[in-house]
Amino acid sequence: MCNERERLIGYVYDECDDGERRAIEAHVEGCGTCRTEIGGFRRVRQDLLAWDVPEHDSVWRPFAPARIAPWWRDVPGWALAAAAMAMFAVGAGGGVVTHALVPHDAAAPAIGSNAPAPVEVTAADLAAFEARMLGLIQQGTTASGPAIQRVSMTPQERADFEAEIMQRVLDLQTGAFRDHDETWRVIARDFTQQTARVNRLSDQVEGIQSFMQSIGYQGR
Amino acid sequence: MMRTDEELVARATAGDLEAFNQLVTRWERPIYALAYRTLGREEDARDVVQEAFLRAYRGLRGFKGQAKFSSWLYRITLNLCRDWIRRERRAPIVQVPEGTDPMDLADTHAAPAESVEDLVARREMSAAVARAMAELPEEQRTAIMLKEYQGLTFQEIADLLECPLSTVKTRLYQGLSVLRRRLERRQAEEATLRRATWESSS
Repeated sequence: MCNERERLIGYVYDECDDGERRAIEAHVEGCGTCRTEIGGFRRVRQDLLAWDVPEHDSVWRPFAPARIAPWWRDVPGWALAAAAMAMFAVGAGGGVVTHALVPHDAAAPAIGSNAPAPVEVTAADLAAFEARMLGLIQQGTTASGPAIQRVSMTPQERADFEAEIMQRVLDLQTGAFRDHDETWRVIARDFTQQTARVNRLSDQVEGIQSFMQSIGYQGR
Repeated sequence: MMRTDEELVARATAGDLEAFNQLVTRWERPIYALAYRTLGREEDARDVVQEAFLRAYRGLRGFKGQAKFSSWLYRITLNLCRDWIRRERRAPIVQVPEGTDPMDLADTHAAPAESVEDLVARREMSAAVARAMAELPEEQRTAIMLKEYQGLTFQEIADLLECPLSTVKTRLYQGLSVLRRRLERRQAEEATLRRATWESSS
């Protein structure tokens, strides 16, 4: 036993079977060296308890479900396309509003009055409208009055959103028409371009609306 | 009802983040204690604990339940500590409270029933144990820490360190023997110092 002192470790830690425990106890009765050894180990174990660990705050920041993708990735493609069309409609409606703001030959309905009559929009109308909006925005940002402020999205978020819509539309189109002829690809591309243009126009309309609000314009 | 580690691991593997948070809550203190006692510095221990849980999370799918979750965590932590010490190219640092003001200790840490003298003695013993442990060979130190402070069985330590059971017992025996000699010598020196102080004052 004295030559196999590792066996004492099992006894000290109470990790030995009954037979071994009895054998060790019988040996220790007549062996002062092993008795001293076991006593020494028990004292050391007691001393080891003094080694404490400082109190500490949790070092772990609990996981929270993280949104990795932008929220609009969850929106189905058809809904994004619908949103793009809705923005187009808003843009077209905004054209009516601008009649109340900018000098125009024809009498324009004031904001808040009767609902605007249906408007037929041609490419030439859109181009003229875009030029007019750009002029107004330029005027608004260089005027001494309050600058236009966007409160809903940062420019980067807006750019991302637009890019996402365009990508989704393009994905839809190219995905659906992948196996068809070139004509469809051209249509899809044109549609994408038109969507982008509509988005730009809508953006400008929103800017004008913000500008109107910022200067307290209530309509004529 | 409290879920077992195995249940929480299964849920976390399936994407339940809250289940993993519960595992962290359950095991953070033992893992921190192991890292602190191995590295000897609080900020190092904090970094290692963070990294250990991150690795555990990333490796959950690879954990097949062949060992207890806690043993797996201990292994990750010990490996990180080993890398840390190697990277720092230093022996484990022991934080020894120097110039300890007993009144400060009494204000901040004393249990109501513990006198200032007892508290100071306990802190000194804590520092002495930390020093003695830091001087042990790594294998012996790790075996003692896993046994004494983490409460693992011989077999669990053998599995974790991937060594025979008899090796674990040998490391414990040798480590405890060295600690015993060092701590007994320290106590003898303290007794001599106290006697000398008492004789010079009387």
